Amino acid sequence: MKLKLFILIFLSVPCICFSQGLGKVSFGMQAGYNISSFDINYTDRLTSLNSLTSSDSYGRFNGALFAEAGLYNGIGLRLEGEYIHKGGTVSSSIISDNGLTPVSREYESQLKYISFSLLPFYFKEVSSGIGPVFYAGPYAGFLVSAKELTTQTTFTQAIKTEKDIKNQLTGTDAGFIFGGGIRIQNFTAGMRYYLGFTNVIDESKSGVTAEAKNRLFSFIISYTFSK
Amino acid sequence: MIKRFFILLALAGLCACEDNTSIDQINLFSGRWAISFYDVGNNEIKQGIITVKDNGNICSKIASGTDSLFVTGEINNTGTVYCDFSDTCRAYTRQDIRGSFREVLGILTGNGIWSDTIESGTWSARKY
Repeated sequence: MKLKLFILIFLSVPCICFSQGLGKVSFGMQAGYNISSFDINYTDRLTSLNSLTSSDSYGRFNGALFAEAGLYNGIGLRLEGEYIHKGGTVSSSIISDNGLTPVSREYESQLKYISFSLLPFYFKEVSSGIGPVFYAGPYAGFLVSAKELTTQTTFTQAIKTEKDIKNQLTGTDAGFIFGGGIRIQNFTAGMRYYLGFTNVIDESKSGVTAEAKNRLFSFIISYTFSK
Repeated sequence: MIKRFFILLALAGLCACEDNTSIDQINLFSGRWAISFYDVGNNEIKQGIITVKDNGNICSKIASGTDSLFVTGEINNTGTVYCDFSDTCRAYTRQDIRGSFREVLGILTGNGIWSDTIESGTWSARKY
């Protein structure tokens, strides 16, 4: 239901901008490569241990469609709908003891979202159609699927298992995007950072007493049609 | 002669590294956990380290000052904890410590309740 509502808003805003004469609306597509991780904050009562940590990074591709309208003097508004991979990798420490085989465990979490963002931008045109662009704005993501791949390795053996963890996570992810790049005519190349504000772990369903927030760095290339 | 010595040494090394337990038999929560016990007022009364063995068995001594006791019992592969407080390592009989260990996104924590003949409270654990 929330997802349908966001799609409706996403499709209607460019039409409203167009009808209000706020500027020419352009559409485009975007592809990128993400490096994502989690910021982890333990919410248990073990005060003798550090409560903050972060996962290792995990890289995947993303794709997006967008609509943007120039409003005033280089300032504009972009609406983006994105299919994006988030996640991270956590490795456990290896302990050896009597009756305890030293096992290296690596947990790779692959979270796939459909995400919508509203990004006010500023384009400083240095020469014809060329110049830097900066933007920042909120996003809301809806979890499509969530898998966890666990690799366990001992000295002589290894095993990989996969499980669906969607029902242990909150279905939404909201946060802020900061980014910038260079626009050359219809092409833009740039970088952006996604700062997640919401805890993606559903503590009541997972039983895990910790918060994990999405962090993501993305390299992107976009193409705008009919500019 | 030297070559044979090195081959023997390499074989000895391989044997020393051989895993005794098949990896798919190793309990998913095996390893070392920090655990703290709290009274009903949420005050920490005891903390220590417990080790979950390959087969899920636990027999770990928790000491605070001159006082010490064993946490003994087992944890199954779904993370359910069946443990007792005792003065020696043995199978659980009363289930003084109940609760579960859980994992998601590679984050492993545990919590539950405990009780003995005169007191009760809660516990929290974290794999580290």
